[in-house]
Amino acid sequence: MTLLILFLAVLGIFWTPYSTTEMSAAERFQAPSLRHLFGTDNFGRDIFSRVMKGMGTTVLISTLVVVCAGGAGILIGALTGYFGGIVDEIVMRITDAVNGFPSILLGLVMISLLGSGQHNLIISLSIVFTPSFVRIVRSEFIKLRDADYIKRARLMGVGNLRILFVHILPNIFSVFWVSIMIGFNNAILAESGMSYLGIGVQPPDASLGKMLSDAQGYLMTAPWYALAPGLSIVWIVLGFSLLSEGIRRLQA
Amino acid sequence: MKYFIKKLATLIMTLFIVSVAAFIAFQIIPGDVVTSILGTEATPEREVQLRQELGLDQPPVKRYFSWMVGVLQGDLGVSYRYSKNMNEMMPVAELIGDKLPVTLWLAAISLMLIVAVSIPLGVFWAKSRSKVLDAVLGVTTQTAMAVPAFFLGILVTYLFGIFLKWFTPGGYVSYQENMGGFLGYLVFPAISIAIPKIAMTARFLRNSMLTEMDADYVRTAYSKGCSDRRVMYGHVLRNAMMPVVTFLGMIIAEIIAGSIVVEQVFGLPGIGRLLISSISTRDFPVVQILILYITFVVIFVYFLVDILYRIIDPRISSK
Amino acid sequence: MRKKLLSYLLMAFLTMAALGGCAGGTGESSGDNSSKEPVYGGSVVVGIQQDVDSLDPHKATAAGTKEILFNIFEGLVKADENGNLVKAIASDYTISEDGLVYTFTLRENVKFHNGNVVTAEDVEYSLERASGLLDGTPLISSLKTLTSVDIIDNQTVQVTVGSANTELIYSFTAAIIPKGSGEDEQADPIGTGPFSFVSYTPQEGIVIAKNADYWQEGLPYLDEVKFKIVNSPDTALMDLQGGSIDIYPYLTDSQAAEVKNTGDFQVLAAPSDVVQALFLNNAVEPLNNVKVRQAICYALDKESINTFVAGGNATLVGSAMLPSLKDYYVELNDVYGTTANVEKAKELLKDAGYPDGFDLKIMVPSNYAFHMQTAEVAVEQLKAAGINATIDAVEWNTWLTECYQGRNYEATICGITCDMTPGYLLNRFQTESSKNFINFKNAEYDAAYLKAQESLDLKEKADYYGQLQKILVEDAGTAFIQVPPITIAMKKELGGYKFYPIYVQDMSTVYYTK
Repeated sequence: MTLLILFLAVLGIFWTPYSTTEMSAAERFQAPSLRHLFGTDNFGRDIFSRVMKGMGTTVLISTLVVVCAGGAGILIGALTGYFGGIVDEIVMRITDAVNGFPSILLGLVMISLLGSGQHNLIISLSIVFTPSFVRIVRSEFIKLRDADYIKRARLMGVGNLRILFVHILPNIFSVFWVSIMIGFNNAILAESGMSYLGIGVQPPDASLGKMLSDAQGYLMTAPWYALAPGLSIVWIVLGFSLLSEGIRRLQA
Repeated sequence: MKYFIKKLATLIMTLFIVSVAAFIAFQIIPGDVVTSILGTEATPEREVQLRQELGLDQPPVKRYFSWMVGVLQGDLGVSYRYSKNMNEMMPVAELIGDKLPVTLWLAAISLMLIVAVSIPLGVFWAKSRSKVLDAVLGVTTQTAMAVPAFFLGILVTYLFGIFLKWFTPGGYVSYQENMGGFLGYLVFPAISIAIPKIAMTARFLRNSMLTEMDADYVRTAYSKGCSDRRVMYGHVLRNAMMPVVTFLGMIIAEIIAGSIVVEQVFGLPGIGRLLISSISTRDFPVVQILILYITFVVIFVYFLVDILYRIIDPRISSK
Repeated sequence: MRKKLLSYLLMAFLTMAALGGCAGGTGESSGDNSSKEPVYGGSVVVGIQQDVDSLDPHKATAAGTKEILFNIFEGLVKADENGNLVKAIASDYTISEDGLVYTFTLRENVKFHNGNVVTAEDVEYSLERASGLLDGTPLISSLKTLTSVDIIDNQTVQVTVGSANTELIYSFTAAIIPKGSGEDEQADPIGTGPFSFVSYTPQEGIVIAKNADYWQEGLPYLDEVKFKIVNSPDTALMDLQGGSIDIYPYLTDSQAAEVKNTGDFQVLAAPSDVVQALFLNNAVEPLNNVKVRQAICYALDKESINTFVAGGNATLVGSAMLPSLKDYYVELNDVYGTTANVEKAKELLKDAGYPDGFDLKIMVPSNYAFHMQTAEVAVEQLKAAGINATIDAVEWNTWLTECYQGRNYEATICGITCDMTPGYLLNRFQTESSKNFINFKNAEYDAAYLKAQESLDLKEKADYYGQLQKILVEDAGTAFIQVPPITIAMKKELGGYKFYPIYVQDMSTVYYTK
């Protein structure tokens, strides 16, 4: 299932059955048919093609956000959790602050500093998502810091870095993996929210979130327009969570 | 005691960082409140006058400190944007005080729904030995967790509002007008909030219970001849609930901090919507207080969670 | 495929022409109730899109606020549904030969909502406050020209102005408020309109109630009107269908089709007072080249924009004038045609030295779905002519600062609203105008505008306005697109809704039918 998503998403970057931007007055609001699998939208564009393309954009953005935020989360969380002290204190205050800070305001700040576009969307979302990862990684590190096998390793003279990344990190993987999946889900949703406010992906490029919010106005006339991107998001997230479940079972 | 003082100090420090950050953010983003209020048609003289009225002609640092002094004295300031009557602006405290109950009630109803459904569901799930049931519940909860909030909101509106006509979409009544109608309306946004959280909590509880059931003390209890019921509710559930409670705490913090999307879809005049509209109109006094409020709630709940952790696992404090 | 498309376009065009024929006034309507018997009483809920920006009629600037305050406040004169001025608080007025002295006779026994009779002092106070004579801060820019306001006797007020202008009389629609109420901290908004203010709740809306003492006999019909802020234009449709709002004046084309299907509502449409255009910043490369601007005008296919975003119900325009201002409007759609002329556009680009086109960033306020959609269509059309256009969606406040005030943009799609004076739309294109956000620079235009202002003869004035429109189009200051329609949905049981050429929601004539 996930493979199919990835396949469609990757394919969507290079090829779509119809142009994603070409409009046709004659083909507005066509119901799903063999010609247009998911029907057409208010500009007569093929929704299936746009969903493919949008999947690519959305998955790419969300993946990068999770990778950036997760990476930063591991680094910061590991160091602060393991060593503690004053740096830990300060970093935790900052993550608290970011937690309370509205992501939209942050997005606006990023745009005025860096200009609008996908990269900045990724940067602002990464900043927003980092604290939750830091928190999880940190608490796991605190828990394991005093575990017997770590104490033993320390006594054996294993270096701090090695303990951090070889002895502890693999052990928090299962917990971290869950939060990655939740983060991925949230990133997709946040991307749609930001795109809706004009901070994210710019039309006529397609993203699933943008399509969903555009479709809201046509729920009655063209329900397929909202259902296609909406269900696609559900499908992607579901696919990835089942995948993560599977991986966890394999590990266990 | 020392612990509490330390926590209080960190709380104040965080609030300070946040308020400075918000202030700087407002200096950076384009557009200011004067433009927002006056739009495209006002006279230049009026612009100057308004800038003076709002104190925006002062240097930024001075403005920040006069704002902070006000807040420390309990004066939260007045909104730049919302009028109280013809000539007076709405005090921030009054504005937020008016919107807060909406969000708090929403949180309360959501929490009730989550607890009422997820706990029995989680217990039932953990106890069930059926493979089929396990798979069905697994997929159902995964799906529920995967639905985006506003998509869910729209689906709920359609199902209950348009088809079943159980409530009037957009027919929000103020709690000051009609408490019953108000609560009746809130049930549906609460359902939208609760569905994914129920799924998460139920899964969490189930996993937590399964772990507990393998624990030695359970085997001991069984071998001592305790009834299945007693073991389940007396021991397993009690122990498994602790992490679930902290999990619920975090969910509540999230809702109290403003369910922006759900408030938007259902037209609820709560904290989240106020925050969004105040950011877009550059209503600094309102945004500033809202951010402080949200930060406070988040930190406070984490603080409670922290205390709970200490109760569960005393090793953490012995550093 | 292509043929089919063409035939659809043709069909769309014909439908549009047919609709255009019967537009004007109340326009297309399904199930108009105006013939049924009106009854008094009842209350309605009107869905509005924006929160109120001020409850002070002189300070309010947002169109969304003015449309509501129209029911509470009145001026010496007020607008009617045909775009004419009718006497309101003044029962009569005279303007001196030289156009410098206005004498208003007050209507007897007009009462404020607080029960007091409107006096000459109240009028003097209100006009001085709005024009800045009171404290040096003019609140309504067109009244800046007032030099003095004098009380002649209890019923007569004389206003002297610095320079003659035949359009100034429209500015006396400025609200008359009780003396001193502009400084009173506790004052509720008090006017003389058909409805009085009851309450305002931020984010929820505003409630007004019938003014039993209203000077116009028999009005209003309704006891109470609630203006309710709808959460989003997208969900307004659900609110209508769910029954939480009775009147919604901002339907989109597809929403209108949907509402018609349900059968519980009447759908009425009329042209709005907004001119939508792809505004071009005349000061930046390569748009400072007139050929490039003309190429853009040729590249746009206004008819298909109309079909896509307005369901073919908009009125296409070539310049900055509303077709409803019949005495001044000049038909200029033919200059660049209403369909795309890609060859011509490419040729002009080649002449201008851009044979391979260029990049164009179009800044669009993202909160306006209508402009966003137009931009999406326009981008495709410009691409066909080789112009690599992209959309830069920004938040409204950013748009105001960057685009409108800072003039730091290449192109934008938005609408400019008109009031009842024809000069209003044209005055912003003078080189020195503070509203000239497209940086239009044309000496001939400036000279003609001055002459139009000075002229006291209406015929001559209309000629100058015609010239101005032509210059604006030929110099391709901006690519004008269309006047979008206003489409309202109203419950079947209601009647009497009137469309105005300006942006107001007049609730005084709305009634329930038996």
